[in-house]
Amino acid sequence: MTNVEYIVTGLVVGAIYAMVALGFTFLYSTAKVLNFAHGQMYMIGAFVSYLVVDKLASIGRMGGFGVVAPIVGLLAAGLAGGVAGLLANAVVFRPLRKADSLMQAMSSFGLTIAITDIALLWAGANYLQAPSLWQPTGFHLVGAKITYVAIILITFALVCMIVFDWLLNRTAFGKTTKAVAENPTVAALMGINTERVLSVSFFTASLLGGVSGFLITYYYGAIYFNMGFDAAVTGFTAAILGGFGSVRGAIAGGLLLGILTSFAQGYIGGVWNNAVPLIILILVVLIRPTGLVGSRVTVVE
Amino acid sequence: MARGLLQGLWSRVDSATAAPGEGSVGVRLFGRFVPWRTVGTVVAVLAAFLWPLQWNSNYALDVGFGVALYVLLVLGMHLVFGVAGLPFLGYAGLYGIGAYVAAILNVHYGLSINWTFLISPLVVCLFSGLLGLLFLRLRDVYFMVATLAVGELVPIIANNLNVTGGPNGLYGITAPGFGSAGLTSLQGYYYFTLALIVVSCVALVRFSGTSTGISWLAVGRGDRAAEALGVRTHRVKLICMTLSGLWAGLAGVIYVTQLSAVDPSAFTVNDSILLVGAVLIGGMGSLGGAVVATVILYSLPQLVSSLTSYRLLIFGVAIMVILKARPQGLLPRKPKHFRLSLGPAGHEGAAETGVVPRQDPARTDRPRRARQSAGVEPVPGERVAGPGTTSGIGRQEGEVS
Repeated sequence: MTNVEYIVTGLVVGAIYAMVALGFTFLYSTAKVLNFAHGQMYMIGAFVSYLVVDKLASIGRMGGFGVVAPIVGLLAAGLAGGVAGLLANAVVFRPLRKADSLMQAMSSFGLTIAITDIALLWAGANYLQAPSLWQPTGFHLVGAKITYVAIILITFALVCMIVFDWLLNRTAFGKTTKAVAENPTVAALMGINTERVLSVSFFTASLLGGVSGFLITYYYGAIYFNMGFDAAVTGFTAAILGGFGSVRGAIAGGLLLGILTSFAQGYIGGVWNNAVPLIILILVVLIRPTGLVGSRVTVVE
Repeated sequence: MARGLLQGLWSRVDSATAAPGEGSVGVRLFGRFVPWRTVGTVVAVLAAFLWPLQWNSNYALDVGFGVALYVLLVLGMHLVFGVAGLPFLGYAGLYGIGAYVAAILNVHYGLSINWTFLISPLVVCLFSGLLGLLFLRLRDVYFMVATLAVGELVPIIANNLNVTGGPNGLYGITAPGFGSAGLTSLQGYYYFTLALIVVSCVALVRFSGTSTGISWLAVGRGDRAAEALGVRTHRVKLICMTLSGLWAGLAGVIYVTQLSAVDPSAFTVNDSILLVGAVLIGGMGSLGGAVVATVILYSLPQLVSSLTSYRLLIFGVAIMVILKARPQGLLPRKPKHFRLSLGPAGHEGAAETGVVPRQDPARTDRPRRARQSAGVEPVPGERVAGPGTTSGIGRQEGEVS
């Protein structure tokens, strides 16, 4: 593989990391929670889209031009992720709204291992092969082969970023979520239905998680039970790398992390693949915890 | 109705486990009043010692040894999470390091395995202290995720190095012992682990009654408040992290010598989450709670075979349910009531509102009466705290000496 191909692969994987990171960061900036189970929404999206597309393929209704199955899979994954996010909010976070953030995070870890176990029971410890949706056709650019899927994925992630940025910074919904994040009590006194705002935030963020699960399933062509946990770690790393709580930072962090892991995989070797995000996570947290574009806040102890 | 029943049950549990002299209930044995808490502890220890004899089967012994190993691990987690309030999700990594250090020294360097019982915990303590130096400035969630990354890295590194034997691991580790007397049988390992647990528990309980121990407990309940009251929270956290390596290292060596082999799959982050969860389910800062929760949660899926594959599911749901339904945990640590010497003793209301001047730190003749359940006897100069339930988890123990 050439360097350009590493960059393109990195951008594709990074675009998916970025979408997971976007969900993390969106939930953090609206509900002020670290939902570690966000990775599980990604897994649920992947599993549901696998089931739906597999079903469609088995009854021979992939649709004309191979367009129907991806769209149905995408919708199903997004919806499943969103509903799972609403459930996570209702089961884990609403009862603990008054508890401190550590306990909320612990509870989301509880949800994480519970959902992972369900996935393990259902799918077993092996990889499941997903039916292929897209042909790896593409074009050549400076000696590197670039597939159309890659272009679609990167574009999709950028659109998501623009939509979320607009949603948070330019709409009334964004304003209300920021108000709720800033001070739920005052927001409630201003007539904002805080619980509804939080539910909508969870639904939106988890929908994004489900969609990214769909994308990774048909990019790599396989799913496995622990993919949610890995995605949570990489997504969190991407979010921290970009600066926690910033939408643009999450995208930048995701893309950068994707490129870094892609190069590491190419030059160091695949066995250390899983270690790269972890090492980056530790380094960023130690050296620059505010991330790339994070604001510098001096914490007065 | 179910809720009423449950509340009745909890109030029974709470009064049965209350500290002596605080409305605890008990039985009269040989003319002496013995609180249920003591009875329960004695019965539990006896049951643990008699466990292999009772069942006389290899499977029961196997389960017992596995559970004992996790109980040994949870003691360190109790110190670092229950006492110091640090969600240390790299703890299983320490366990792995302890196991690998022993295995490498024994297999590659031919060092007697007896020495690794000293060296491994020491190395793990140093490593854990180093992690503390690096990560303790991070706030809770960041600390959690950074240590989680360390815990994830340990099996990955073990998987990829030659010295650790890669995915196959290392094997052929010799059994410890002196001459003909050695640890060879599973039963021997079980009793050895049990003895370590009992000794550690006694030490931890004795320590938690001292004024230093109480000040350490305050760190986990609210480090800002503890800091304001003069506890050097950073130092306490660092010490707790370093010391927690002791149990992780010991458990690692015991694991590796009993199995006489080690491979990377045994030290996953799940175990760290489960141990943190066990401390949480048992009750933050409650040693008995942590041990009981570990025993229940690790032995139940093993003993009831239909539950084996649901182990993580049960654990995850238990963590969520406990955090919602009983945030103080199953067997919460009972706050001791310290009363001021100002005003008449037993006047809690007056004492609680009283502002207590910080004592001169240079004063060294501070009465070491903290452990005498000051509910009966006033301890001069101690801060006063009732069993207040402030936000966050569990009963807050504001007392700081």
